[in-house]
Amino acid sequence: MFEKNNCTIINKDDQSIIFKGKRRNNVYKINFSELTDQKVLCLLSMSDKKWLWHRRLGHANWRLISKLSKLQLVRGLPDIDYHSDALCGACQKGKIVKTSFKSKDIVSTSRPLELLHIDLFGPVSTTSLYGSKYGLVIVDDYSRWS
Amino acid sequence: MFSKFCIQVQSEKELEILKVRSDHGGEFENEPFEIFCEKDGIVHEFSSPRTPQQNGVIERKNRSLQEMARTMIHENNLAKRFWAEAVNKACYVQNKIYIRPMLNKTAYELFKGRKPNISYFLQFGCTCYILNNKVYLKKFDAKAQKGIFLSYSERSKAYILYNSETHCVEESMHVKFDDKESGSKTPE
Repeated sequence: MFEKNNCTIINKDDQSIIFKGKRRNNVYKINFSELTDQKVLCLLSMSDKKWLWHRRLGHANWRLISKLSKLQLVRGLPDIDYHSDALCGACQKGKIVKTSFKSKDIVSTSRPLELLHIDLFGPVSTTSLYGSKYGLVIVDDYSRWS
Repeated sequence: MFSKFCIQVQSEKELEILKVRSDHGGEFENEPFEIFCEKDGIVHEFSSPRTPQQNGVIERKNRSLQEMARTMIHENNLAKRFWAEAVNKACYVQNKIYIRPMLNKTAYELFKGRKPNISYFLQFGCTCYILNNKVYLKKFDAKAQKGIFLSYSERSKAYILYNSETHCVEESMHVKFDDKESGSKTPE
């Protein structure tokens, strides 16, 4: 509940007050060190719990964790919704892969010589009869004439 | 090494290993290995030379182990020399949580016949405080030393930890973990 100068957070089940905060400018601040009431056991949100288990399981795939939880294949995993809501930095450092490139199923050029693909191959370890080491390949996109 | 593993697994499951599939690495294609296989009646199958694609199961497992280990090391900015512990931990975790495709059960359940308990799992590399019960302490000496959690012990009910003060890896049960410390961190 947010009021002009205060905010109170109330337990939905029994209407007891969990903690109170005061407004400073535009922020409602809660002083947790003043909390003497030991009813507050866990300040972690679901989201933190989800990430904690993601890390505890060695950064396992989200699909895998959610499957484990849904099919109840393990004991001791809290029953919450496991899905990724952000990109995990460590996962990227450890598991990133190259992007794949799908081949196109349309012809994007409409006439010969509109687009040329050029690449040079070499150096070839054996030189040719005329002593050259490199080969230049040019392919026309429309006809694939090279 | 492999023979020890075979004896242990066979007596645990009271089943016999029938086949072993490997590539042509020197560590598999040698005389002592062949003699061992013959003695125990194990058929040794090979993938074709220079064709790791035929050895897909093990190559894929290698990759998932390495990826998980790499991720765990970089998450906590640990030194790379912890890689062996990271791989061990990755293996331990994967055995308990990876689902066998098509059978839709965890590896642990298929092997041991019961669901794995993962409620005690901790983050690799989280800070911990180890009770110093090895050395005799003076009255007002610190009772605990700071360390890093590495893995779970396979042989005893204990944790494998790296003591950052003595720079040793040790096994201990008298530990408090600060598992939540990085728990409230948002992903980078």
